[in-house]
Amino acid sequence: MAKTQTVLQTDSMTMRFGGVTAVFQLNLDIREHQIVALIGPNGAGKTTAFNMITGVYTPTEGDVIYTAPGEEPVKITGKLPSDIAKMGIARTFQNIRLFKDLSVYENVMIAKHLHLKSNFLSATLHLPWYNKEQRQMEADVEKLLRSVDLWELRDEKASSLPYGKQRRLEIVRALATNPKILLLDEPAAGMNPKETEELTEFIRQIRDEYNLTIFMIEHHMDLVMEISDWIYVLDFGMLIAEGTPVDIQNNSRVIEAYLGVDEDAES
Amino acid sequence: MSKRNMILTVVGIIVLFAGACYAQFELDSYLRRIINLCLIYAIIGLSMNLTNGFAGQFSLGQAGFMALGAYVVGVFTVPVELRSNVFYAVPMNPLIADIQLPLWLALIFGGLLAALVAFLIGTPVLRLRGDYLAIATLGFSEIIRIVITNAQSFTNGALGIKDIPTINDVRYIFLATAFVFIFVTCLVNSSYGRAFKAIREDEIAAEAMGVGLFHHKCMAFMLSAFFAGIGGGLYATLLGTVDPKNFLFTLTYNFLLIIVLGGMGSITGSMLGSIIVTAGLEFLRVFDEPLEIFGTTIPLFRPGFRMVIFSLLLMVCVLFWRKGIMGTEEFTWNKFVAFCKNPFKYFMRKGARNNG
Repeated sequence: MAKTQTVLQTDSMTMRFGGVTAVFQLNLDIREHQIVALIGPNGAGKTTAFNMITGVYTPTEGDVIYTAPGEEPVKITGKLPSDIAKMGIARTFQNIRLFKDLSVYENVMIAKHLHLKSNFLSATLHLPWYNKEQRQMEADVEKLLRSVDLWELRDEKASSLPYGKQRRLEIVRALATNPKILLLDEPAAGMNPKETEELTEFIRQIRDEYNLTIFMIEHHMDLVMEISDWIYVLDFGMLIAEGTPVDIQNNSRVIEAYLGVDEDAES
Repeated sequence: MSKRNMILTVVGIIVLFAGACYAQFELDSYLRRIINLCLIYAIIGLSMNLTNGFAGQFSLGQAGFMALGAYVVGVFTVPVELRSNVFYAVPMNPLIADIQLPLWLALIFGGLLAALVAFLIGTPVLRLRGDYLAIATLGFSEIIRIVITNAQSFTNGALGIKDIPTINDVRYIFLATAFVFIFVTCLVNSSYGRAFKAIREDEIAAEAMGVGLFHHKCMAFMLSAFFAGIGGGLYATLLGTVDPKNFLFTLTYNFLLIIVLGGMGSITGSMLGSIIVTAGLEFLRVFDEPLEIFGTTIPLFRPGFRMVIFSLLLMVCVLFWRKGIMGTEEFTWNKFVAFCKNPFKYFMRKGARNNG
């Protein structure tokens, strides 16, 4: 596998909640333009790792280092989620968190707010430079929504969309922040095989179209094995394996973590 | 906004302003007072809707911010020669004794002071959510009132300030309300307004989408305090006196009532709510007077009965419109035109939308 530049790295990142160690000394190395998956049994600490990267939690120990393409590496440990989003790391949530009562269009427009340069007064008075920015935002959102087939549904309330479309909208909303890395927390949760297949195609499509790096948590092994370039396996907060899909499929520790040990065979 | 809607808005405001002029010259001072009160309550209702309805932060500090605005207007607009008369118990602090400001300047200073205090209060308090925020802001509004009561050389304490030059002029107050209405409408329809709504809908998602929570909450809170301060200042000029007892926390509930009835997160709803609550309370006064029909006195009709009727009306409203009369919808010209063209079709479509 060709080595590309690292965009996101965690350096022995640890999270303790009181006496429980949710994630212990996790070292990740996510490279540009790859699709990287983080898998593991329930409660392994995958979402906690996501939350530390996106600033929801501050790691008890260790660092998160982000390297925007063509720039110097920066420590983003403990920064506010909104600042991390501005730097180019966008995410979706395990249980969909759309702005339910707002329209599809507004949901995506809100994600454009973080790049707004005008202050609130020029925005309120709709001064020319704000109007220019606003028109640019509208054009971007229209283009984005058209490219993912959500333009016809733009005036629908987000909560009225079917489940699969809500998942898609959440990804689109994250895309609207112009991220460099997209973190997807179980994008295929609750989807049937056909929807999962569409999603696989969709993830590939956006990766290529927007030149993204994708880091995702996922339980659907078909999806993970099909599209991942690299897989990390977490169990009880510890990294137990990493490698290409083929490596992981044959790794005995991974099989053990998922299926348990066959004691008869061992003895 | 399309060109047609813009023209309709301008025409609408001119027509209403003409109405205000008519009211000023043709109506008696009692009716004018009710109209003015409606307009002032609309300003404060709008300001409260900004934090509670749009940014989704349940704040109950409106009475405190109003008090600040009212007192700035009260202290600085009383003519210098009348001040020894007003401050008869404790003379006015020499620092401010000779400063007299024109009303408009005092109003703006009142708003700015309220916004400044909102910033100081907001810095710690806006980290709280829901009920906790409500309790903290309620407490702060009481603190403001008690500070005012005790800063006697500035505010004349519990004696209050009288001889404030009054304006019972519908035109000016109408213009102030129209200004606040347009400002809030433009703000809510800008990118910042969308960010407020995002915070209301889901704080965690909003933050993950790059909306700085504290920054935006503080902005909404300060703007809300600013307009509440201006509203409070106008309230002082309408009454001609201010007194700490005017700004008890029960005053806040009037505005809460207005925005809940009108619809949390609806600007036109707040306007409607303030008219219903203020005018409703006045016009229900018929129930307070003893009523005699054919020589028999109808029981129940006695002072206080109007509140019973009013409460019943409110219950009916809340039962049938759980999200307030307007919900989060707005009156828009598009809907208005659709309604005028074909009322029947308009309601049919509306019904279909609600069911779907």
